[in-house]
Amino acid sequence: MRAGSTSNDFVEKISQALEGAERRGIHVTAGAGSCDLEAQQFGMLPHEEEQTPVGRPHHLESPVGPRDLGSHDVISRLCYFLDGVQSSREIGRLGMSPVIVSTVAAAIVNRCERRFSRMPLESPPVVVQAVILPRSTGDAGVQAFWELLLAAGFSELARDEVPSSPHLILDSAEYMPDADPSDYVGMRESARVRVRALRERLEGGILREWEGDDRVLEDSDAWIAVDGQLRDVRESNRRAIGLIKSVARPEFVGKDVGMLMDLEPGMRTTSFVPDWQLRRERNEWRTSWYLRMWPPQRGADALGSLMRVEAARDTEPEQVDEISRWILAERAPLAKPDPRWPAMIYPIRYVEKILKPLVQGSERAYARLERQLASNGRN
Amino acid sequence: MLHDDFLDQISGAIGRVVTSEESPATAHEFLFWTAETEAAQNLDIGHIVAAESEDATAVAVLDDPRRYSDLQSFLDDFYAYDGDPSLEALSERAEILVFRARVLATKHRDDRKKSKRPVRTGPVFFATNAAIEFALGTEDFSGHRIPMLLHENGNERNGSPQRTPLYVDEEYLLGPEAGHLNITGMSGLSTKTSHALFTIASTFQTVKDKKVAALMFNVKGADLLFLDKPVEAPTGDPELAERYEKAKQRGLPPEDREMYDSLGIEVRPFDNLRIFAPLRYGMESGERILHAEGISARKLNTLRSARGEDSCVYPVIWELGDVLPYAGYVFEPSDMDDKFRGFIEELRDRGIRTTADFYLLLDEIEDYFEAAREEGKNVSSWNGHNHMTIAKVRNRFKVLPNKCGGLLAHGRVEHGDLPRADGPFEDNEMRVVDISQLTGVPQDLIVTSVISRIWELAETGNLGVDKLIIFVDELNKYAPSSNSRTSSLKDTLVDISARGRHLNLTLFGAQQFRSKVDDEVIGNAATSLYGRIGDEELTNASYRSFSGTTREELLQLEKGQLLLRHAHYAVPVFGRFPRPPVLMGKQGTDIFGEQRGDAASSVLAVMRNLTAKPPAIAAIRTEIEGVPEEQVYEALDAVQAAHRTGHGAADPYKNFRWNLKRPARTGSGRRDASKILSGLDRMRD
Repeated sequence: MRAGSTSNDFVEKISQALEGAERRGIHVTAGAGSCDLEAQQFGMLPHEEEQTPVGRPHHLESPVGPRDLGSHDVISRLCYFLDGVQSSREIGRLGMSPVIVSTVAAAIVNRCERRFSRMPLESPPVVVQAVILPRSTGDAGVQAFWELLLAAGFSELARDEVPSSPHLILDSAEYMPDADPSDYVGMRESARVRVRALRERLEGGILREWEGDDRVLEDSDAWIAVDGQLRDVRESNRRAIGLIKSVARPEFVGKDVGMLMDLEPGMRTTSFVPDWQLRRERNEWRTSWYLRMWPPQRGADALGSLMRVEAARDTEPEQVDEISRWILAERAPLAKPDPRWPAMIYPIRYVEKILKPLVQGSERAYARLERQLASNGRN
Repeated sequence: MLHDDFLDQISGAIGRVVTSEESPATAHEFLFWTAETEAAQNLDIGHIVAAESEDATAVAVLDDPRRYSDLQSFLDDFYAYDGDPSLEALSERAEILVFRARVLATKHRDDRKKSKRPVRTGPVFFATNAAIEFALGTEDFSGHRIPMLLHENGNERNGSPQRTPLYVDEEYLLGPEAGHLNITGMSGLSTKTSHALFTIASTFQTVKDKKVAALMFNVKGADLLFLDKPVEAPTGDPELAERYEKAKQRGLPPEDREMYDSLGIEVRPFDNLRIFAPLRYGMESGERILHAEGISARKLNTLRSARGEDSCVYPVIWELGDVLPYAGYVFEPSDMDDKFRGFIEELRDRGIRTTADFYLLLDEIEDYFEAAREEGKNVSSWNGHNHMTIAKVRNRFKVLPNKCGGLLAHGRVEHGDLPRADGPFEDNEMRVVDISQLTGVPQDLIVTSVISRIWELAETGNLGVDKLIIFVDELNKYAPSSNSRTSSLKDTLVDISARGRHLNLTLFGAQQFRSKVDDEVIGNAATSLYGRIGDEELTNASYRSFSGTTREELLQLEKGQLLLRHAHYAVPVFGRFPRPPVLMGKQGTDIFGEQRGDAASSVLAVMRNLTAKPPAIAAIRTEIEGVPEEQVYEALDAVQAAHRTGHGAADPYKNFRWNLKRPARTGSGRRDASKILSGLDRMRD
């Protein structure tokens, strides 16, 4: 898919809807220019990957503590790597309701003989773009604009549906029965959450495709590393691991936290199921453990170079050791210059590098849209 | 696509133009990253590619490849590998190869328009032959297209690279629009001379509507003495083929033949070769008149002297009068004071032409002093020249024949109808003046004199051809840069550079150190070639217009590879050329030298030159059986001498057999043709 042409189509469709809205007396007020929601939200809230732990995890090994992985030669089975990226901006307002546009992209790369190549998949699309409006707040202007967008060619996305159309329209207030239409800040935050959910759904759809791909089925030794938590993964898929790069708040409590902070480079903790997962359906339980890739870096805290790894439920300790060794073998090449490099592996950085241009390459198209809004004279 | 025929779409896109704030595309260059396709793996320095702007296609030469990765610090890599270089990482760090492409030309979609717009971000393709020919300005040539090098691009078909001849415009090589060729390269790789020969052959074969000739100086061994001999044994002569084989001369390798095919040039030697060489020192008879026509090649100071192979060899013999204008070359600077110079001017004013005349004058002067002494007069000078100066002149002139190394005759030289080294040329004549066996002084004398006289011929319109190429190697010696000494040869070479193209003279100059050659000689060369160059030379300002990568390339160019800069080319282009289509070096003497066979073979070789129906070798062997070898050669030389003077018999073999049966006349048992002619002159006097 050519990102540039898709972006142009996307903006063209919004432009059409805006023209229709103008004719019907619905005024979309231009925003103050480009506004990157991800950048604005960063640092205000706990990292998106991390759930807030509330209780003691369920330990799967005893005694709880560090585990040395040895220094055996490693034959890594990590052959596929999945990651997704997202970018959102507020292009204007309909009254107090923010009009958010977003681009998400996800892909899998295959590593073969030390070189990477993107894994082509029939569906879902690599790049999905969406307009996010708080439709469920009941605002008539928002509802009218929603319909104009549908008429311009946007598609709605059903609950749990994997995106199949590249241009979507999403309701940021869909799961908020008491949403306040005047809560501009809340609407923006819920839009951001919706975008994240869209990305995760896209990643999940891609992971499902991967599971059923002939190449993967033929090579039963090939594993996939997913950036972030393992969601939307079938119980039968025991060849996927999730790599959670940041540990904002450890899952451990009490003295176990001290053990975690003192964890030596190249060592892992005993495995566990996080407390917040225990409160969910059993099929959402994962075997987790922490792994320290590098010594704590200067200027970073004691949790800075820790990675939480997720694997299928009931993964045996021996398998945990082996997976850990695969990950440690990824220390070269270094994932620098990404600031998260101490807890990141190079292949994931590679996927991110090839995806970033897809979500950031639409500046001219958005600028045109912003000019159109500004020319309405309602700024 | 704007110009489909310019882009090699079979190989596909091989990269993509990238522009950024720091590295924008300009009218003259752009950057692109390379794809990972098989075709793109071939991309290398010097290849030619094409990319598009809005309305035009730019054709550009590759330079300055750089491989980038996102690694920010070497230390990061060191730490990641834990200092262990043998550690095999699971992933290769992503790297890209970026080439700088220097624009040769840009073709607008509308033929009437020109475009200098930089290319846009987009795919890059290998340039096709059509694109390369366009980019090198071939369409705009006003004269013939002379193939000079062969460019090999990275796009391959059936394992062979796409080849495009690099043409130069005849009117910019031989004049009158521009002119001259300059070749720079390290000595010892034989690239300079080989390429000059190749270019001359190419010119002879390409320029059909003008008479073109060339003059070269053979300065080393037998390098240029067998230019009329094919590079591989002609078919139908097993004996000759055996000699080629024995000399390990196995002809051109297939790739060279393919190059000739691609260049559209035939593999054929120079048909019209003339070699000029001075006498070997001591071979001069000392007669009052020396007949050049009768001088055997065996007396000449050249390696091209074997019987049967000497029909194109002619002597260079000077009278004293020819040497006197170049006294500055011959005598030591410390000897050349005003008094000495004044006496030499006296000799020239008096029209002293020969050494014999000189000694007669000295005898007269001696008589003058003797007479004065007898009369009791205290006379210390003759005609204003002190007797000490005259004594010094006598002393210095005594060693003149030795210094001139066989160049100087004692008496008058009668050339008759014999071609002269500094005489008019014939169409496609390759004239070689062999100075390889001489030392510095006579070498300089011959080069200076021949070039000066040919310049005079050009000025008077008597060259005999429409265009003459003069190849002079070691220009840094003959036309050194301005700060160095000046000389009449340098002045002549500067004159040829500046005005030669209007007088149909073209200088093909070569040197190891371009930076040490006169600026005017270099600056007037519209075509320049660069072979492998040493690093000390490359640091000079002469090469500053080249990119760092090109300079690095010049340090390590392979034999047969050159960088060509021509008036029509916006950017210099690398190319290759095949080995010259002639025998060069030691193989020439091994195959065609004197020691190659018995007397019968010599007879056959001579007869081959003199008659279309030479006798069979077996018949010759029968004929000369029992005859002393010396007598056979004497008879053979007599036949050759007769032919050289235009008095050859209709049936030279019959004449040879007749000579064989005649008794020897001289005490040594040998008849010397020059002495016979000298005798006739004495009778006439």
